[in-house]
Amino acid sequence: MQINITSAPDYAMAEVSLTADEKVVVEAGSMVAMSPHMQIETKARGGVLSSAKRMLGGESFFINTYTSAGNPGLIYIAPGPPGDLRHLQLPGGDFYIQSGSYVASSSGVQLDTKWGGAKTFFGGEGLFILKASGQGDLIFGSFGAIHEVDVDGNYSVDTGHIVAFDAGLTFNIRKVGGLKSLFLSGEGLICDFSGKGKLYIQTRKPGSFVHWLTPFRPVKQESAGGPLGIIYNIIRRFI
Amino acid sequence: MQVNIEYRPSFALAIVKLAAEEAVVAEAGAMVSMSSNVQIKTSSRAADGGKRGGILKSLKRSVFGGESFFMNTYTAQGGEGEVTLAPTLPGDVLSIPMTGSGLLIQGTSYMASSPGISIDTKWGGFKTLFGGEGLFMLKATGTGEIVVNSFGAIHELQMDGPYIVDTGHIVAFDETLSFEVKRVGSWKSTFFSGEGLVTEFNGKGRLWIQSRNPKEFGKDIGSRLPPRRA
Repeated sequence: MQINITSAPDYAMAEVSLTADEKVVVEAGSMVAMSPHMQIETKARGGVLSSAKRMLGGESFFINTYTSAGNPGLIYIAPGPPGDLRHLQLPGGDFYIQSGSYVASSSGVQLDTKWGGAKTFFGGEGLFILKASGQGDLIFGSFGAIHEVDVDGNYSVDTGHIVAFDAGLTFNIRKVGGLKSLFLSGEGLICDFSGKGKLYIQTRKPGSFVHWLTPFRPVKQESAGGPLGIIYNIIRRFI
Repeated sequence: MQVNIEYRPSFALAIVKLAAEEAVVAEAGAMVSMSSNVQIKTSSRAADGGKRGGILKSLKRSVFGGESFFMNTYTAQGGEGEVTLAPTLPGDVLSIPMTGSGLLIQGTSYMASSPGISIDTKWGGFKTLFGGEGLFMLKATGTGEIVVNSFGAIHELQMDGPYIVDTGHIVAFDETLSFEVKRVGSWKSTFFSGEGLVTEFNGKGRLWIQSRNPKEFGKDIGSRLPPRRA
């Protein structure tokens, strides 16, 4: 498998070249283009229970495996949000990815949902982390740019900005400051990392973006019929 | 306080290095990451180190400034520290050194400032409410660094004489510039041209504009989303 990342960092896309009969596992909906002989197989990976766990992890229930049947082939892969992609060669051992950041992997890489702890539910900011293990290629993506931090000691990150981290780091989730800060600071939950290892963070937070967009959504009208309702709706267009 | 801005212009991140016991004031929600010796303090005060302000001033900033009610102060304790900050929308970040003369900032473009800078709301005039395009400016005075963000790229203009900018594209400008919010063309144009209100600047000074209008983007995407409850 040969992986080449193009159009980085703003709108990165992965160009994956496969040898004959080689496979690549791709997050549902991430295929952009591919050779015509590429075979697609959709699976609820790891059985229904494990898949349900993955769905809790913010990831799709189904995962697609593309096989370059009989001949070498090419597949282009891109994630949903605008941003960057990283390709890592996993040497064996564990690696952790925020579930929404997973994009693709070679068949030698196993994915498992690691529970971030019940605390992560607090404040509606779930932190679900996938554990990738085994040897092979891994591709993950970000909303915005990917900022790498070499942690040696302690470092704290807003949970919504976490992309991935090495097994050399342990983490603990906490609220910001005191009660006042928790509700009023506008900061979500903070993840304290400790140990030695590489941490990948994204420079934009999907949750904040969605929150920003919410006031622009149309408002459900209870009963805005009749001429008054029409006038009201016209006025609303300009406010 | 040293501000380095990386990943410009699309997804800029401000990396703020603090000396021991040094602080930076930032808009609520802007913090991305920080070293573990950095302490967060949330205050409803204006960003002036607590000398003035209080809840009324904060409310004024929040209601009229399009800005968060609360500000967070990040202080590096017992040694050097680092705080990284990012805005919500894709776009650029700019750090402007302030040496005494004031700066006016569009409410949503403010991201952070050194504690020596005081932030106050300046009323953009009644007209600015019209058409839903509020022009609420924050006035920054003092010395230090002020960090602003944009939706899209930031374009700097050196002004000398009159110039017109769509209100939704203003990021910041020197207080030496005078400004007036106006309708565009006839009443018909005001309503249907899609341009709403414009700001006419005059005088000499710097003006920063953003290459995208957040409100236009919000309307474009938001109107296609399922309705929310009132």
